[in-house]
Amino acid sequence: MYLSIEGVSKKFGQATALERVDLALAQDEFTCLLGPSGCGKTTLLRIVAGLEMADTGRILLDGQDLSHVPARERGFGIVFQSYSLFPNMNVAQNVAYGLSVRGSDAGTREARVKELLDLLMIPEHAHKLPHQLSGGQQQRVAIARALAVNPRLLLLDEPLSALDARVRSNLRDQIRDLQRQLKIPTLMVTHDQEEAMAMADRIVCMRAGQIEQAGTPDELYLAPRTSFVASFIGEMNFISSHDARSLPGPALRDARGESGAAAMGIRPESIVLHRQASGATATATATATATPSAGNCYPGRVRRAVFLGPTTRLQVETGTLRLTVDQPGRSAFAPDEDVLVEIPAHALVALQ
Amino acid sequence: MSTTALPGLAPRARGDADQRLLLALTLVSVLPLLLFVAWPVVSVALKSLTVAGGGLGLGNYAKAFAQTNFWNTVRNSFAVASTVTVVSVFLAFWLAYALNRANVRFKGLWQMLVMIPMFAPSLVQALGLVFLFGRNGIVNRTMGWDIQIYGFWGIVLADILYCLPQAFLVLSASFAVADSRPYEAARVLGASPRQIFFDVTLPSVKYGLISALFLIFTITMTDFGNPMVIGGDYTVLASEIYNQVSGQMNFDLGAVIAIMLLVPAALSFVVERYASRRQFALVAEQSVPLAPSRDPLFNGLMTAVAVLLCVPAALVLGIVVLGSFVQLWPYNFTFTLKHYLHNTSPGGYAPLWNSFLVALMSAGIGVVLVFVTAYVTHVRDGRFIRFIKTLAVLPAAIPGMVLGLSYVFIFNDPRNPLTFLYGGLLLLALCNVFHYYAQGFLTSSTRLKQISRSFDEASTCAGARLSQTISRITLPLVLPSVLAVAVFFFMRSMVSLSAVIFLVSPKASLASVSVMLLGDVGSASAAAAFSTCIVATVLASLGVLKLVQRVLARRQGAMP
Repeated sequence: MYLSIEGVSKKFGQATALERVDLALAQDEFTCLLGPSGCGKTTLLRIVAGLEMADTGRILLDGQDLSHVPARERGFGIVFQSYSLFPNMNVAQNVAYGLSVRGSDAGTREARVKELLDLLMIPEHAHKLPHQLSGGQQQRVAIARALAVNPRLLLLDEPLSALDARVRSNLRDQIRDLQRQLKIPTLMVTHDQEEAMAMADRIVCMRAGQIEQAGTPDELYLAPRTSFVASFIGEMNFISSHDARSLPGPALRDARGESGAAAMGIRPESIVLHRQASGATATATATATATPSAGNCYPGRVRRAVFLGPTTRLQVETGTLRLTVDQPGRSAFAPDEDVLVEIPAHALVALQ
Repeated sequence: MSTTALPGLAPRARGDADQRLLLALTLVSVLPLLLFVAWPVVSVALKSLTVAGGGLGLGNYAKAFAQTNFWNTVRNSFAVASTVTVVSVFLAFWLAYALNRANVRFKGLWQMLVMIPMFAPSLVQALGLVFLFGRNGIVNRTMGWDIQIYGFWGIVLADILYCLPQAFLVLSASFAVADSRPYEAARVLGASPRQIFFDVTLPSVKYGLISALFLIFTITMTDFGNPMVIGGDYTVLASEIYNQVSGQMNFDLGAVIAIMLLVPAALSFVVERYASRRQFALVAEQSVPLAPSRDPLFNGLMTAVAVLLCVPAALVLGIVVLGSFVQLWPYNFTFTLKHYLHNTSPGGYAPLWNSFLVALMSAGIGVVLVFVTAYVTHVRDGRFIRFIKTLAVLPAAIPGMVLGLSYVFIFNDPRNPLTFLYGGLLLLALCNVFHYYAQGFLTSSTRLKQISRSFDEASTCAGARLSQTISRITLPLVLPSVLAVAVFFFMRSMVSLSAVIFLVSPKASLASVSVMLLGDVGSASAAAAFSTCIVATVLASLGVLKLVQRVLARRQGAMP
């Protein structure tokens, strides 16, 4: 592995920020540290950067122990949420800063600055001062500054959080493309799960100073191991064993055919609703009804339906459960309608 | 999140260049503070406790307390200080209220006029009052009255004029940070203007008021120039300490009085710090600034308040300038430059030149020391750093006379290898630096705190050494404040009297001392001429600063 974090712990006074964190990053990989504020993700990034010292544990880069390598000798690039461009320098001077403190000659600096500003599509701003640029432009300069020294590792600390929504998604895709193109191993901190999903090869979900689960975006979304991960990344309906027993029908079974005692979860878009004919005879109406595939089908009632544009979000009650159900476009179901709720066994995940 | 760490300072190998630089900076900050603040204060305390035989004891205190004269002086000091405090804070309150909350016409003019006394030595107010109401004052001569200005009322009046701008600054800062929402809420809920004043306005400046009261009390207790010029036979602690030490060489009693001055000053410093910290916690991040009133009656009334307070304050100083240009006040008003050309004070204009040199040295030394200390305490943490911080603000609690006297004790001691400083301009400059150290340090600290830590970190991660980060990032960012702090030291040094009065020698005297000596021997016009020179020097240097700042601002654009 390219970067190895081994047993890193950190306390601030009495408060534990990190507790025995182990993590390994492959070369060329884009890794996101994801978690709520205070989970220790920024502290971990700062320890990797050398801006903070771990109480225990060590960081290895390409087999080299970084414990006694000061931040300035690590050769990493870092981008902060607050841009942090040096206000007394223009864009070109900012980008060239890392080269100039290393004593590169003016010609090399100029060529590198031009190359990077072209790469980030801001060549026209070279002689402007930071305060003359928009937030998105400033952050591009900050990225160029971080890349200028050919960093061995790129560290991004919530780089998009201060930007407007549209600029954010634009720059998000661009950073992702740039990272693929330059193949720089990258570690990014974010609290935005959508950002993590969109950018990362691997997401490391953190909670209270520990790693809750690490994996590809697909793994974390489709197979979350804990209810924390399940609820932090996307939405999840939680079904406790008590809820499961209350369901009006046969026992709820997962893909392996077990009706486990542990808690289970299902994503809102995975639940299927069927029309339930009023009265005793269940006659299928043309559009929305199909025969329930098999099992995990329970009579319920729509309590609320909110049209959100791309989807309609419904609240459906069955037994003691109140499920959130997402359907594409406008839903065919209306509040107070009786429905059959199908909870597909293959979409059920067992949670700790 | 991670506030305890050293910003921009990574864990480093032993012997790393950055570590060595930081250690050097720490020494530069702490050693002078130990030598010129901690040791002097301890030495005064020890001196006051050292009895005639050489042992420790309360003998000096017992001797002082046994004199009725001593208790009279203490009572006088408290009487003057409390009267001045109540009156000047009351007046400053209305002035600050008028200039911040009302739409007063020519606001900038009044703000400038009220600050004028800050540019002159404290005894200039007394000098102006002597020109107006003294035995040979214009009032007594033209009206044929016999007003006795020398004594309690003279000191009180002079000190009120002297303290008004300082109280105004504190209160103005309180009034300026208003949030309009409570005012709107009160109005919507049906409160009358009177109720709003007592229920919203007054509580919102409560801590500013407390701050101002204690600050002014300390300034008045320890002011020395005004009582010397206009006190007559009315002695206060500050003039008594001068008489005891300079007149009678009674250092033991001087040390006892110094402690008597130090205790209330230190107490009020603690209260003032506490109050000013509370004041700024009152303003929430998303507060809406309060717009000044638009009521014409109220605005007219407040304009009158501003005029009535600012004009007399400026007038007293104006009289001094006027008096310096006339043949014989108040009999012959023919224009003359003789008070400038025939300087009768010992050393002629040499003291003015000395003052200028000392002020330049203070500015240079002061700005380096306070910024190094502010930087070190900004990037490092721990018990030792908190100790340095305490030392750095301690001078605010030490009256100038006490500091000056303590320098006599330690630098006039032949056993001290630094004795060569005694009687020289450098020690005068150092005395000024440490007298005004706290204000300079707090200003620098505030500025450094405003600079985002991520600038340091970005620079470090880009591979810069600490020396490179400081010279290329930190220093350019604080440069405007560096200038302002340097000018602060320069200005205060030009006008300071109380701290340096014990340290001047015939060879190395200062302008403010010349003014005092001239005033003391009754050469009021010559004293006025000398004062005018001081004010002119201060104003000229302020003008140069503004010019430099404008050039800097144009070169750098807006700084965050």
